Amino acid sequence: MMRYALARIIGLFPTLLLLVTAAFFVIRLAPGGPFDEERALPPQVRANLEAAYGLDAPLATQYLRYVGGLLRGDLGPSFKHKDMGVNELIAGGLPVSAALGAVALALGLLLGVPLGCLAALHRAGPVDLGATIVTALALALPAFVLGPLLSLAFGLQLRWLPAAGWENGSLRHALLPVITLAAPVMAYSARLVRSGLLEVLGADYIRAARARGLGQRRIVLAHALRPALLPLVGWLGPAAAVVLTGSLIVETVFGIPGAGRFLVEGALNRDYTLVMGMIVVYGVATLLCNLAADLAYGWLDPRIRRP
Amino acid sequence: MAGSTLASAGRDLARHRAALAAAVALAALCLVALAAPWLSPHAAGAIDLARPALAPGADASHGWGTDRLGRDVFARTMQGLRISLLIGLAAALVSAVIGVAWGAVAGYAGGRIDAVMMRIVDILYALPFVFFVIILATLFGRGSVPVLLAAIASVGWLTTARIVRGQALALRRQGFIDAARAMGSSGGRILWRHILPNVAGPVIAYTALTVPQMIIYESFLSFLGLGVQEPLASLGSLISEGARDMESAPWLLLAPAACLTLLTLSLNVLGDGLRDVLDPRTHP
Repeated sequence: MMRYALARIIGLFPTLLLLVTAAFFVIRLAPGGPFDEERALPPQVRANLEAAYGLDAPLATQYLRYVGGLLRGDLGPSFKHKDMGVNELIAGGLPVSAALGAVALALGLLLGVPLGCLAALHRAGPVDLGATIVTALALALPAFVLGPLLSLAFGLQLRWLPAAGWENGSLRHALLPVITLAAPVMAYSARLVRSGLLEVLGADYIRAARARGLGQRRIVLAHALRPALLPLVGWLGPAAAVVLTGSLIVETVFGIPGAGRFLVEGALNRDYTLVMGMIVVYGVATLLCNLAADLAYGWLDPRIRRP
Repeated sequence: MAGSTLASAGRDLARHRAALAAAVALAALCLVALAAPWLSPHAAGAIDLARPALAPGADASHGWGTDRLGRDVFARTMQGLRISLLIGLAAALVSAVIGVAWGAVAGYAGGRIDAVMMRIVDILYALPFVFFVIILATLFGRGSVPVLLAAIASVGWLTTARIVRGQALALRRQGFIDAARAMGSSGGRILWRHILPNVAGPVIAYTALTVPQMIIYESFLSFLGLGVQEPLASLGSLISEGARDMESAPWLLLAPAACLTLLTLSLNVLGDGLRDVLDPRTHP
């Protein structure tokens, strides 16, 4: 298991390098540059600026410099935020985004897994029907619809909670954003657990356990749940992507000072290093989630561990 | 054979009550969206500065009210619905074609070609989608519908490629493929005549589920201001506009939000029904 994990971790680096390389050159292919303003800069000023940021060197040299900096953990200076490094900018916003995402992911799973179990155990009953309706609604309400609607209903109409704002993540301010982000996680996980459990409950070894006279609770908790969770675990990598893109929306809708806004803002401003920094962060986050999912998969299903 | 399979799938679908209801709701929604220019006396983009931000019902001819520029909300929402639907359908179709071609070639070729092709899919999976589309949008200019379509479709084909590749990999070892090869069929002919018909069910089912995803992606981009631009509107850009004004004019948010929810809900339920019927793996 250790060797398997180690091999997978080493395997991440080439993928990350490919991602960084592709992103670096695609961004540079885009027309426009960081110093294109409404009013054109005098050529000498522009040349000085480009020299100061190393943009006058050949693209290949710039690329090698960037990768060199990356290996030392340096994401470079931002072109638009004066006197700020990309490291500082991202370090300022990322903890907020990460905390929000982690809480939402946990809440979504905590609600979704039991809901999926209940729906599977009471198949075609009222609980199952209710779960089907709730998950179908949650999947039809993407973050950019659910967020403004929640803000309108509970913030502006009922006035129970603040419509926007963050206040260092106070519970009252965080509740609506977390619900918005957790809703799709809840829906996906409930569906995956329901179908996974239904499939497992039909298997021979569950029938055998029933024949041995084990109770329903024992059968589900000790025998059926572990294999039934496999599809859910496989989905955890994509789940991270759902939360990441959702956080972009949620941070816009609720005015949260996270890192999500840097991606769109950086791309529109041609702030090359800031966009690259966000791609590195998102790339690493997605790759790590996929890796965690794979490792958990191996732990839940020993057949996969065989080389 | 394929014809009778589809016919029996159609009969199964007609017995699927939720899917049937979704199909009816979807048809009604599309019909209203298409007929909207004749149902409303106002054109979608017609500005009437004398009647800004009318609440629904305040003026009999503006049943759903007007926005800040006095444009009729019903006419504009229906225009948004048409554009969202069009982009969603087109993107799902494009991504299905790319995904099927990619997956079928990788799975049938096998070996090193398969490894390289699927590695590319893995890497693209790791790319955060938003970033990819932002790059495309900035490269070729914001608000261009073909760019938007290409950007959205470029993400949708990955899962189709994986599904088709898995099926093709399983099929290439089967006797009837060996027989076709022994009779001198070319690789292209085997793919077209023998592999593709056998993956049609799962592909149709997955593509049906892709349509609402594509609609949501497009609206997501338009919400961020990277998609469809004024004076055109998609449901996403209308929702974004409505969210800015929701304190004073909540109907600007509620109309497009309700339409998008109804659209994606009915498409999802219909897609689930199609999958139940067409994908042999989900049969009990």
